[in-house]
Amino acid sequence: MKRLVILSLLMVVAIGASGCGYNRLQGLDEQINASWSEVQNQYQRRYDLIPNLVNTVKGYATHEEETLMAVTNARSRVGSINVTSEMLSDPKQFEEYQKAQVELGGALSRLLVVAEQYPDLKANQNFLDLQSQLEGTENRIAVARGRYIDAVRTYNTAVRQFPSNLTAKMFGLKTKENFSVDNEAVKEVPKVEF
Amino acid sequence: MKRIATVAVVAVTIAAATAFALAPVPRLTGRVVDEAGILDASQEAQISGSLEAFEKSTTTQIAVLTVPSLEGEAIEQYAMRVAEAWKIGQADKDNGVLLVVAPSDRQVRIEVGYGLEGALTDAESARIIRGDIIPNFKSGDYFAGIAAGVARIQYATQNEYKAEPGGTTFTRAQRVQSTLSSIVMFIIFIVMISTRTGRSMLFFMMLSGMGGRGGRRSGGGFSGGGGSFGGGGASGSW
Repeated sequence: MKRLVILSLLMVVAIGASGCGYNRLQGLDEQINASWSEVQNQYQRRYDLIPNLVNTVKGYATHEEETLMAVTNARSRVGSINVTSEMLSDPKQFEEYQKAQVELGGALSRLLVVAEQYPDLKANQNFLDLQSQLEGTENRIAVARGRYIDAVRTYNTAVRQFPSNLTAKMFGLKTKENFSVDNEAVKEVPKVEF
Repeated sequence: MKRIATVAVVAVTIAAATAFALAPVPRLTGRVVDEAGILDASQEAQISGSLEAFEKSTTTQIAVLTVPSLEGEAIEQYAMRVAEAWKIGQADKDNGVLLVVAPSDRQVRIEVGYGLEGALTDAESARIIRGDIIPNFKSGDYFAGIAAGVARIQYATQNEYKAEPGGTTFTRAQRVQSTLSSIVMFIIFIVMISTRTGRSMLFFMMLSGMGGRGGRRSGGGFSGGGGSFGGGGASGSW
């Protein structure tokens, strides 16, 4: 009788432990979704800022069509990608999305460098405001990505470590995609010599 | 031979560690943390007093940090590390603002909490840095720059939040809930006292509880309210 009691207690503990594992994985998954939403939020903010910025620069930088076009095209490419939550589990889609966003960031950096060469533009209050908004947004993007990376790392570790990897296998929970620094074009802002 | 190897390993490790050393996040010892030593005691007290009064009337927490060196780190990243560690601003409002000055690196940043991004926009932060802070820094007057910056920040955020008069008021539901939980705790306590296992559990809990009380408050009684930051604000250099 006593042995039965001990056995059933052990089973309860075992189930409880893996049950906790499941709950934890769900919690971490939700954390990923929340931080992914925040990343989306900030990318969208940047996306919305751009038309205004392009128009302001266009007024002053009369021979920079190429740079302005590059920004507009990069923005369209980003806009054409349909963002879904499945993207987080699909490496190819995720990489494509990341690449498009990085290219847009690069085009914007080049645009700001070009704008530095136009003193009238630099003195324009509207441009200064837009520039600071853009810089603020880039920083927010960096912060949101950093938090997303942490969330995914915690989740992926739990999915791969014993014993929660058993629970993960049982319920078909897989590791999620993460931003990689290698894929990023290093944002080299070229020095403008006068 | 073995001694040389050990020394070599230790030396390389120290070199590696210092090569990647980031500037440390200082302890939150008050509203003005002047690690770079650019303010004298009375200037620090003046600014601190103004910030304390502002928090009393609006619950918004503004803090000023000066650092001797950023150790090569971008001021945005450093400021975020400090903001996440200090957690200034109230937890339910996220109304914190952190002003970071790095005089040797000649960089300054205003880091704005989530709850104030609407009032103290990136554009406004940039304007404050350009118009109020940097002109003073350029002429070497750090106190004037910081004081002007703080004043403008207060001006921008003064109407966002107001302190409740007479301290925190609990809603009726909260009062009922806390009374109920007190009653439940009391019943559990009585039950535990009356059994032998209960008494030993209680004794054990008391022992482990003793060591737990650490000093939460830092000097001056100022501590972060638990606010969070999202990366909003602006930076500048001179």
